[in-house]
Amino acid sequence: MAGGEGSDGRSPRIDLVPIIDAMTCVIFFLLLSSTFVEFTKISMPQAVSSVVTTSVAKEPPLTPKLIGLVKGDFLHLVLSWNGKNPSHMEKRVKRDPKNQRSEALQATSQGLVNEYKKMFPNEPALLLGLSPKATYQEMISVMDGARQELQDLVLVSWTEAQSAENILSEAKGE
Amino acid sequence: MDDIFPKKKKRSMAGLQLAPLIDIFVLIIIFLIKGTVMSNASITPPADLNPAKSKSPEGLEPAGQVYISQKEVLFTMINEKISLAELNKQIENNTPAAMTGQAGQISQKLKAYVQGIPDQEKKSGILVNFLADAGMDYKTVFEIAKYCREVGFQNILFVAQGDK
Repeated sequence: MAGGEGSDGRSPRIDLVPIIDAMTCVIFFLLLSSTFVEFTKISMPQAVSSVVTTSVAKEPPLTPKLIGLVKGDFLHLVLSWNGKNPSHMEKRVKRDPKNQRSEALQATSQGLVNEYKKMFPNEPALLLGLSPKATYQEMISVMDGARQELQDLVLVSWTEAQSAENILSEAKGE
Repeated sequence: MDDIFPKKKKRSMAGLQLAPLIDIFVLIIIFLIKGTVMSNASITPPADLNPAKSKSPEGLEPAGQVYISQKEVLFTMINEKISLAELNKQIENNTPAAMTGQAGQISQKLKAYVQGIPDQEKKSGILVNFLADAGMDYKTVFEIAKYCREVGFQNILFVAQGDK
């Protein structure tokens, strides 16, 4: 099989082994490289025009906010929203003195967001912030719970905690 | 008679050599195994950092890392570290462009690093893995995350250790 002439010294024979090797490599290369290219086809609906005869006032956005307030040994989770009928929900969880991952905090966060989602199922995103003294572990636990229900979380500044304080104090004043 | 009608020699059956084919397959298999292992990113936090725990099933993205321990902040992508107190002081008083001293140098290096990332990676991937000490306060975490955004990191992935 060394190529060149056959055993009778006349008829030349082609050695197929190298070409099979090369073809195997080429086939694998093509198979692998084809997965890296992804074509997407977007079908757009046909354009239509409409005439608006009345001026419809846009509903104010909900902009839901989940704020974690540190108050003594407890972390108060306040989920507030704006829109037509602004309101809020509140739950509190005891903070872990050793700052370990808290199942209770995660479950409370998930529960609050779940209740909110039942009321506003089309809302895609949630703003999330905590008191300046809240820990990174608490932030992760709250995020873990909220992300079970809503995928888009936007971190907001610790200064937003003040707005949640105001909401709570107003609610108590009523 | 033999000269006029020469005897046909028996041709041996054409055999296929399998050894080179096996060689190639071995190489391909090793390449595929290695490729899969390499795609899983892993991080090794500093010894003095007590990472937060999480049950999130999401995996890590291969990207640069920022470690925030109680004493210092480590930027692995530029292999620089700075004391937490110094960085906090600079963040409170200056924008990244106006920072001085070591913080200023780090800001410039981070900007250069971000500019060096190919556009395709910027569009698709998480650009920085962010891992802070479990006991780190939210104010510090938020301010350093904000600083990272200001120097050019578009996406920040908050990392925690898996809790089984």
